[in-house]
Amino acid sequence: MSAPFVRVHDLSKTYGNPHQPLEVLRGVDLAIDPGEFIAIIGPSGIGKTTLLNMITAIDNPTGGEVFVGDTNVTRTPQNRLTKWRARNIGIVFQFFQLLPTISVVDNVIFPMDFARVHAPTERRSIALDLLDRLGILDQAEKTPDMLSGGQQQRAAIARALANHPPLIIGDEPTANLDRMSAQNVFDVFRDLAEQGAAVVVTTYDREIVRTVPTVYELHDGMLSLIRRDGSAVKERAGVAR
Amino acid sequence: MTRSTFRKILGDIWARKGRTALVAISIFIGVLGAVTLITAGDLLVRQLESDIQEDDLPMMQVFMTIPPSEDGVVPDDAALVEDVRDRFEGVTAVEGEANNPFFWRFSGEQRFREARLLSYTNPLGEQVLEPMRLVEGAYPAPGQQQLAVEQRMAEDFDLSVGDTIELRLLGQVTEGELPPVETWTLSGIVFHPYNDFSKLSMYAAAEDAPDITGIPGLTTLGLRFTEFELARGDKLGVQDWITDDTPYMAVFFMAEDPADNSLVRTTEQFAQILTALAVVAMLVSGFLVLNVVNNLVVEQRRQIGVMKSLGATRSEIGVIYAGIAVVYGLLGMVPGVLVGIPLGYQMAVIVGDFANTLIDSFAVSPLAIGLGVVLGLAVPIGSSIIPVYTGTRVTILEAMTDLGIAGNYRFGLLNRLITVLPLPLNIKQSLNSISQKKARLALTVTTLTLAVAAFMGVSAVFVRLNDVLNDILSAFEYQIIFTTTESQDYDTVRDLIASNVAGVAEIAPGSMAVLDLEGYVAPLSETSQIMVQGIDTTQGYEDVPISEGRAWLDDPTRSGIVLTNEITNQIEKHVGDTVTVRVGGKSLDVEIIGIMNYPFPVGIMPWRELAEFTGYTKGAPVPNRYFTALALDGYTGTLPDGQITAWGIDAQAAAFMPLDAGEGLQTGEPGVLLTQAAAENGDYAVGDMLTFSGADGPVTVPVVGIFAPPAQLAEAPVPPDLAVFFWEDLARLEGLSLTGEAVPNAFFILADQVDPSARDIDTLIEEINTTLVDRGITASYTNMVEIADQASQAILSIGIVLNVASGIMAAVGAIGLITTLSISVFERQKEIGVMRSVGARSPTIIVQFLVEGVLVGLVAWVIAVPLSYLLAWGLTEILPFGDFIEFEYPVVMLPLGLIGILVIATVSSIWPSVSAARKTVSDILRYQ
Repeated sequence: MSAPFVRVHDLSKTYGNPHQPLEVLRGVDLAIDPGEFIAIIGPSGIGKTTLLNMITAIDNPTGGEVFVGDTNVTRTPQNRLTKWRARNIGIVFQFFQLLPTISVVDNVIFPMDFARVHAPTERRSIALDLLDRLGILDQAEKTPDMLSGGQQQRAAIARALANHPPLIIGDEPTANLDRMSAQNVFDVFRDLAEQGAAVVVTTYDREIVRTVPTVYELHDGMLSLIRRDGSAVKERAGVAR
Repeated sequence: MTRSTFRKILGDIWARKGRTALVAISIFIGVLGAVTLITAGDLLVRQLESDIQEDDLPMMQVFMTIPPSEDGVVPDDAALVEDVRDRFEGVTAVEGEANNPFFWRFSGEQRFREARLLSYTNPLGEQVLEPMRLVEGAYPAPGQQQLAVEQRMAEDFDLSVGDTIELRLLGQVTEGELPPVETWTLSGIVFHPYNDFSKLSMYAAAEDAPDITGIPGLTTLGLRFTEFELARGDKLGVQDWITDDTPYMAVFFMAEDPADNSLVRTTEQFAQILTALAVVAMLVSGFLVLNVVNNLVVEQRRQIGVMKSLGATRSEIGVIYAGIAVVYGLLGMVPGVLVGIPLGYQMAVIVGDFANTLIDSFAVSPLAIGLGVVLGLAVPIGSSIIPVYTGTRVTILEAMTDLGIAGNYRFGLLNRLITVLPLPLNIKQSLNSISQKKARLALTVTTLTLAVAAFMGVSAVFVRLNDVLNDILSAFEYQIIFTTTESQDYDTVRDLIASNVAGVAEIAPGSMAVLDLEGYVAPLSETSQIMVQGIDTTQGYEDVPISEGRAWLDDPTRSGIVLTNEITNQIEKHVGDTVTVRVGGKSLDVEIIGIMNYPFPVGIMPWRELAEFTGYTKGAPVPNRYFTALALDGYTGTLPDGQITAWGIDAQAAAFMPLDAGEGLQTGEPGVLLTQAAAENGDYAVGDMLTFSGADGPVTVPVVGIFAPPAQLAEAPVPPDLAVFFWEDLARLEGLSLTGEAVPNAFFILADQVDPSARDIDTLIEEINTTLVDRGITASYTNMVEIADQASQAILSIGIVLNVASGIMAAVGAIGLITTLSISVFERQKEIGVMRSVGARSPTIIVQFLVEGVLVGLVAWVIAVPLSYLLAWGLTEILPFGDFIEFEYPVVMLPLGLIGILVIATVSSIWPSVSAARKTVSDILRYQ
């Protein structure tokens, strides 16, 4: 068994002032293997995004540590995490967050130009290939406002895959999509996991996660494993595998 | 820069075309203004520096005339020049100039035109000071009926080498006949950069000039020394020597250090002002760019967060927004430079008239282009530094969790106050919007304030200039001043004109002189000299526009002087105080009886008083040349009827009288000297008392000496028997005035036409001149209306430049406000959508944004008022004629500025307001 690619150990996050603290995460432990497709569910505002922000090093925890690959992201300075993040994590946002004034293909090329993983002469062809894989090659030269919601999210996924990151994070990636589009997106994530990427998505939609092999629930600041590899399970919150 | 970055820059530019256009226009206007103004200034200064060579400039110029007492004397100017070289230490060059009016016309024309004829003590083309350059043809040869014409006059009148013109020969006037007219040929065209009358100047050989103008002698003597200190203040006494020992009388003196030529310095100052205004205009543009880039960065906060999450570093993101600023700069700079180059050249040509220089071929100012390019790029880039630096500091978390305006609403004191105000909801929203975005408010207000302050300040200076011009124009009512070549009796001249020339309402005698005023230092010449005009205070045609004192309103015959406020402010004198004036060794204490508002140092006195004081009199005995016949009791000599020839001499001559007997004449003691012949005829000896018949009865004086007349006297056409007195004693004996009768050296004409044009006055001058010349009287004329027009033109030229600069700033300020409001509309689309969805109609939304714009404008005006005061003061101090204009801030600028800013704010707010009102709910949802 390979070592987990993502390791979260005793993670906690508290907001607010000392008189009225709000503990969003309490001693969360999590391990994600390469090729694993994980969904974290919970109602809006429960802290799912906060957890993802800790993993992606967008935010700093109050306690605990997070390892992504060999990197302790909680102890690495932000300025060194910028390029590291570009090469190791692909983020898919709830509202797509495509840059509105450039074309879809340029949106996909954008992170390549910053990460410099691919040679400049290869970037465009890689981007078009990604768009083709996601079924929106014909939208490549259009600007995002000309695409449907589902197409925009596919473009966002293509962008997230641009540098072939080992970890893909989706924060409520289907919240603004219709049922069919949402299912399509989850199918894409599954395919990516089968290709070896670790994929973590958050959602409030319990219907859509039925097709996700491993599901955690975030509740009261703690993480509970609901299903692993397709089999339902209920373990004590915060216990690592 | 990567390809995607470049595309993002272009995409952002293209996506907000309206905003891009506004910013680009603002930068275009700023760069256009900078390149135009700097080009104009640079071309002017370079041309002047090329034309005016320091080594060719005189250090001292003495303006002189031949006084009435020397009428008929033809001075030996060549000897005068030699004398000056020998007499005064350190003289390295001397040049005499005769600059007098003459009359010419094209063949076949009826009417003569007045122009200036110049000639020099050195042959044309060989001037040692202020030389000219032959452009075409040849210099006129003496005696060949040839003239040269100045290039600018040739262009104005379309004159070419070989053309013939007709001249009136005023030097060949005989009474009762019109002066002859001769045809002369233009032998050459010259360029004379030192000539202030270049547009009306022709040149003749020195031998020919007096025949044409009727005026012998020189009008100016220019000197250059080994060092300027010898010229400063006329330490060597050149003026006094000219007045005392030559046929000339020194009227005015100027000393200027060639290393600090006032024309070049003035033009440089003007160019510096233009450059400063241009830079200010660019800086105002810069504030606009800062505002826009700041708004852009704020707008794209979430995008910045996304880009960071995609691996962009802060500097890589900074490059994107700096790149946007560069594109703004390029879009404005390139057309600004391209259009500014020819505009600047044109402005230089127009202003070149004012600077008496000629820019005849298209030229480019590398300085202006360089500055335009640098400013056009540096200002946007520099302006974007702070907003990009602060905007890119946002973390991914902050950017992704920013909820926009609604999330940042705070309940501060101001917001709570706004809540309780009894205002419509949309007005309260305007106030809240202004109060919330304080940084943006500060930037917008700063941009607008600078623009409004610059506009008001510059306009204030222009209004003040016009006030000063009105003061100048209203100070003196007469339209013509003329001075006759030889002194003329006023009654004769008046009657002649009155009976032969229609259109003349009044003719008044006058006097013009330059006096030293004790305690005063003139800004231009740094001497104590002021121009004093003598008027006929008894005639009452001229109301001197005084602001203090009564002058001659109550008593037209009173003695005194009216001074301009420029003088009295400097010497700290008031009405009732006494000042001392001096000329040629004489001094006079005179009471200040009035003060007038006039920007130049001028005094006004009764003309007779002035003429007597300055020695412009006729009939006074001239010492050593004073011969008369006196009756001597019991004498028989050469003259019949017991008369003897009497000779009046001065003390200097008396001291050198070769006496054979006696002690000679003693100052303060009565006495008479006799030649040996006179003593023998009367059998007189030293000590004898002789009785002469005087005007007031017999006068007895002792014989105090007997002398043998020197050889020169023996050869003179006087009898051998002479009685010699001090000239003052002899004059008193004869009952003559020691000073003679005052003679006007100027005549003032008031036309009866209301508000005549310069051309009308030219026609009147021609008629007067024809009448006078017909009677053998030649004169030089000054068309005061033309001078007023020229002054207006000069001030207008400056005013145009200032208004262009202020207009640029106002335009940039307006664009700034439009941009800010359009951004505000963009940001608050959700708010507008919500308002629409609950039933708000278009007028409600329009009013909300209009009020926001107008309020911002009002705040800017309040802050701009004191700034504009400071700017107006500063500009007045450094403008070329700032020394003569007392700073005043026209109160009218306050309401004018307020109206202006309200108009700008309203107009600037209309488009964004209407744009906001047009947005539908579906438009706004689509944005999501």
